[in-house]
Amino acid sequence: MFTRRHLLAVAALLLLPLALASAQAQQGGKVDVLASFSVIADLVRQVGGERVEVRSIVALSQDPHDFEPSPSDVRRVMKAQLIVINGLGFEPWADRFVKAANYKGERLVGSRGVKALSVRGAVDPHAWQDVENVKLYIENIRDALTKVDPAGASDYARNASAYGRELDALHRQIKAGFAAIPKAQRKVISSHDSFHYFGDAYDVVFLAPQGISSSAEPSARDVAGIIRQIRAEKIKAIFFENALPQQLARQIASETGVKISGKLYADVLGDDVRSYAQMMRHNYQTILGALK
Amino acid sequence: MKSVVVSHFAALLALALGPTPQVLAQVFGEPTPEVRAFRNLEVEQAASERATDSHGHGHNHAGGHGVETESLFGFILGSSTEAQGTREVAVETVARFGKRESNYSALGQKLEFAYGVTDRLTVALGLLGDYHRIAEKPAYAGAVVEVRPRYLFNGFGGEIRYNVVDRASAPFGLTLHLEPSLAFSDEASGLRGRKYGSENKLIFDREVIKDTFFAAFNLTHEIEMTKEKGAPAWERGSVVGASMAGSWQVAKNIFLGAETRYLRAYDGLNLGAYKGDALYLGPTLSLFTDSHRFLTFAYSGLVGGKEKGSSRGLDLVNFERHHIRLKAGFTF
Repeated sequence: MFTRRHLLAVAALLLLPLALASAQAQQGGKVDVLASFSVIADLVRQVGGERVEVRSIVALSQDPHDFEPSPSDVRRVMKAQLIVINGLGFEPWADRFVKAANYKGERLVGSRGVKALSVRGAVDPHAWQDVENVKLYIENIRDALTKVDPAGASDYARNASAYGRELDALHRQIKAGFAAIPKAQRKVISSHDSFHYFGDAYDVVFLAPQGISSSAEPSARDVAGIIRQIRAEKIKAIFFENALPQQLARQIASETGVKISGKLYADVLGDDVRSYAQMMRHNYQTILGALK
Repeated sequence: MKSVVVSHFAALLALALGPTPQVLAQVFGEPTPEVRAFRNLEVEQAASERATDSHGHGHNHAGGHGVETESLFGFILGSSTEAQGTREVAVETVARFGKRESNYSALGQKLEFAYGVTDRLTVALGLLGDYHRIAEKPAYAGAVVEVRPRYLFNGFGGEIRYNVVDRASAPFGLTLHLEPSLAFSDEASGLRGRKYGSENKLIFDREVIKDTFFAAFNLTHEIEMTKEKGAPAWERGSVVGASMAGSWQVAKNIFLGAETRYLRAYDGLNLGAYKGDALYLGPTLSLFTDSHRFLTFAYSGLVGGKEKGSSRGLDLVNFERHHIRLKAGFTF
């Protein structure tokens, strides 16, 4: 039977000559870096600056958790001089991907050296939600780029240092902002499971909404459970991964007085947040605004 | 170039065939990450509870934001009511053994369907079953009417629970519990007839240690009117009591506890002539699953009390020596 795997193989074979030609054309140009998803891509851009060409394997519209490589992704691997992933199990497809493409270039686990959190017996990969962790990512990326492109070492060091200072300032800003809120009030409900590092770094408790499946539209019964939870935990704000129907949002708001707050970005950048720093600042300001 | 093409083809073949994870795990060379503890314990607790909180309907028994206490103890009830729209099906069995004048075994069963009308109001309807086996003891020949072992459909029961004070937003929970029934046999004698009764409770409970230790206090008033088949008149009786229980979550979804009940029996519906009292004491065990199934077991042994006018210890005329309660059900 002609399966999807066969299709991948044939497609990649057809693309091989083009890929080889393209790879040769790259020599002498920018360093070609492939990042696993948009957050990592932005970090590489911050360090690499003008010397690198960064592409994200997982598109902005895709969920990194559910990503499966396609034939066109194979072509991208062939061109790359450096592949950067987050690691910590976030990209379970990555090993198969580079092995299958016989990729021989440099590869980097961006989170190398990060002390991970374990949640329910499994390593939580969303380490970038703590800005302090990302400073380690930056050091790792600087070293990897320097190895691939020694001529750019001073540029990478300068960029990494400058970006590190920006991250320090961002971390201090978030810390100070939440510190102004009484600790008991720093509780929000979020349907997303990606904010454990954020919560631990900035002392914000992210409670799961009771009775809400992330994929299903909440029923009136579910909403009753949430209202009970909001009252019990004295919640100030709730964030839903999926938009809450307006009627139910109004019901929750009118019965509890909490804000049905805006979107938080966890795993991918978007139109509102084009960089990692913007993403963290957006999440911080959105949560802080809801808690005030 | 030939070797590049060959190796590339091999790699693409590997992609097509789906190489084993064990082989590919070496590619990125990621070392096993060092794991650290959470700095904020409250954040850690919230993280660890997500698995059970993310699905379901608010009937979170063990852990999270409000353990449901209705079935957390044994004979004693907690104040929780079903969330609006939640349904529960349960089978409750209460066995009673040991009377002074007979070899006495009785078992009452209820198949119950409960529904959360609002977050505060739960109503339930049930079918009743009854088993009795009563054999006289030689020393008391003629004192009791023997009942040959039999199991019968015994009528209908209902429940209305109104949560007056929500434990989530107050230091304690308070629920008014009414449990009327229409039965076709007498609970004590096992003889056929007609019985109207209601077991009414005022239920207080408190989460003493969050998600860990719970305490409950019940005030009970039971009334019943019974007319045995062939009997000339209705008999009326009532029982009042106070009881308390504690339950500790010893492991996830497993609660161990103890409870004690003090009961006083009277003639008449309005606490007429006093007949005797009883003090029960025993352990409880409650198990819950993340899929909203639960099982509650309780044993109570008669450890105190006296029949009015009797010089003998323990009132084994109006009460039994051993009580066992088993309730299992699920919500959806």
